[in-house]
Amino acid sequence: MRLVARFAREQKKYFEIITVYDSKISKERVNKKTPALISIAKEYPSAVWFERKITDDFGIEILYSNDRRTLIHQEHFPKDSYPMRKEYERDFEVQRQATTSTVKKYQGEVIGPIQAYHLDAATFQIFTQNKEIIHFDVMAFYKYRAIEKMLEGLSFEEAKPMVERIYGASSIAYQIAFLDIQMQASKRQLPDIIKQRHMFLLELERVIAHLDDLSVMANFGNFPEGSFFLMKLLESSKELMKIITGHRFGFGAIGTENMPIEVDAVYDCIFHLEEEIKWFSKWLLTKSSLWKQFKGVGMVSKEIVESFGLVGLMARSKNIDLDRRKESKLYTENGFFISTEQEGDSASRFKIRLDEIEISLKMMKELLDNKMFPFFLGTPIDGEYYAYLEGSAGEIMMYIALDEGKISRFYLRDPSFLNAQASMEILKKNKISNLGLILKSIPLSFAANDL
Amino acid sequence: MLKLLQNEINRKKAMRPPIVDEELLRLQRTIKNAIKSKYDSSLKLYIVDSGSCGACELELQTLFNPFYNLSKQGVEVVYTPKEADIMLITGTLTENMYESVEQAYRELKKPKKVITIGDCPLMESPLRKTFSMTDIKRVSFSSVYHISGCPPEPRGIIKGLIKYIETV
Repeated sequence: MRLVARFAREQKKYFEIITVYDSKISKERVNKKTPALISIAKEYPSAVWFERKITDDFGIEILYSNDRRTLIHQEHFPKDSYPMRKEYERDFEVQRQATTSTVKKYQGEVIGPIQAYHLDAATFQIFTQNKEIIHFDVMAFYKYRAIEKMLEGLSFEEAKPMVERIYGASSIAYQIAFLDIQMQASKRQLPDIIKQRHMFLLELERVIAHLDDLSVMANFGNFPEGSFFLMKLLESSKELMKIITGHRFGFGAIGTENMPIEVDAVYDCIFHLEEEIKWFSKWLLTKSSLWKQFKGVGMVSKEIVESFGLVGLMARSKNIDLDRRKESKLYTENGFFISTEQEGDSASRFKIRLDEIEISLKMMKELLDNKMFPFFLGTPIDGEYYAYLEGSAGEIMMYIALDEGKISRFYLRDPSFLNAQASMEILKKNKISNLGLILKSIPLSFAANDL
Repeated sequence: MLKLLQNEINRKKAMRPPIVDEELLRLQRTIKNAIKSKYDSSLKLYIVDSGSCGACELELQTLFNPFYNLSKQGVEVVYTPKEADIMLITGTLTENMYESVEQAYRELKKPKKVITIGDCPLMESPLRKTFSMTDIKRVSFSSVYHISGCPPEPRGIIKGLIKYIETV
């Protein structure tokens, strides 16, 4: 069984621990007087961060865990304050404690939280020997905005603009997951014609994300002309997103109303992008020096993929065909197929991104439509709802519990939450000079991770 | 030999400059001249993500792509505040980033100029205040210039930078 997520929720008389696997959802009750929970980290290494977060959020002690460090709360956070408990107001004032940073007490090099290796704020602690990484630690949650708490007590309409802004580069994916939950709550089915529009935008978001990653990776691979070329395509794709949605990141684009699309002009744009990427892929076949630099770098083993429950690009780079899109008829009927590689290295992740851009563009041509369909959402019914979706980095899981028409618990698991943990294993034994390339080859967003 | 020749043809095609409209050309010229008149060599920016969704950083990164090409106009990103002419701040200021932002400001080269990018730093975006965020006014900046948007588009950032430079 693959662990998808593990999180807690406060009920009136107890805490509820919800553990989501790929084949079942299990729930445990934890009493409020002496809240404690048995760790599952021995079996599922990625449970460590889920469980450390549960402790920070709710003050639930994790038994039989060998990592009890705080995850979200930094040194200044007051002890015995558990902000996801209902008694804490959304904007209660944190009385900062005098800080004594523990990070710098250890040896090794500490980079961050403001740093050149990653666009997001995050701290990395690196230990090297003979220019080789022997230990790597990710210290995240600098960007912790408490989105989960922010959305509590809000209606779907009130929460929507915030969900759009959790992680800009995955805004479309998060909006679709959010709408999926809205649909489930109102016991309605979205018409295929609207789904098709959303899928089109999701694929465009994937193209943008992959082009961005590829252009930076090409630069790390000493291929500046490749990077230059990909950046041009990236800009054209972002402008295409703006033409269709009115926004370069598609904020506010996913709803039940469709904006009209200039089908012919958009088709021409997609066709042009497709031709350019095909030409580029052909050229790359002759760039043996580039592949040489990527080959064997940042290797992920099958064991790590399976034990950390890695999804998306990370799984597919090791020949595991995990992709939520294969479950949708609308995808399979419009030319979708899964691209996988064998090696699990940076070269594999580069190749898959290139393939996926071609597949997405091809599907986008099929999905492009300008039909309009009036559709209205019904009144939401209280309950618990789960949405799963294949974003550009991999499977996204969103959970919402609705109580009296308002959100009583929001939870989101982005692939970054798994990838950040696995990156500590993946980076071991790699040359320090390849740090930037490997970090870019692994889909890792701290905006999506830190929430 | 044929392989080398083909590679050179491909390289030339890849490096073909994009077609840029008149407005952008004018913005590029204006910012280049403004930088030349107010700064010694180039305008050095230090970017601090204080808790953003990542969109503002991506748009800042876009400024250096072949379309906007700000590096050619004299704009440079630096990685230590000591070297920077301006500190750019993106995102809401989280409690967890507060100390890093304050420290970066302390180390910033005098006259310590700050520009907030996007609606989040001033809490003007749809995100609501939570316990994990703090007021940017807590950091005692001497002066702050603001470029609004969610996120501001690349042209908006360039226009904002030009307006700011004119005030220097």
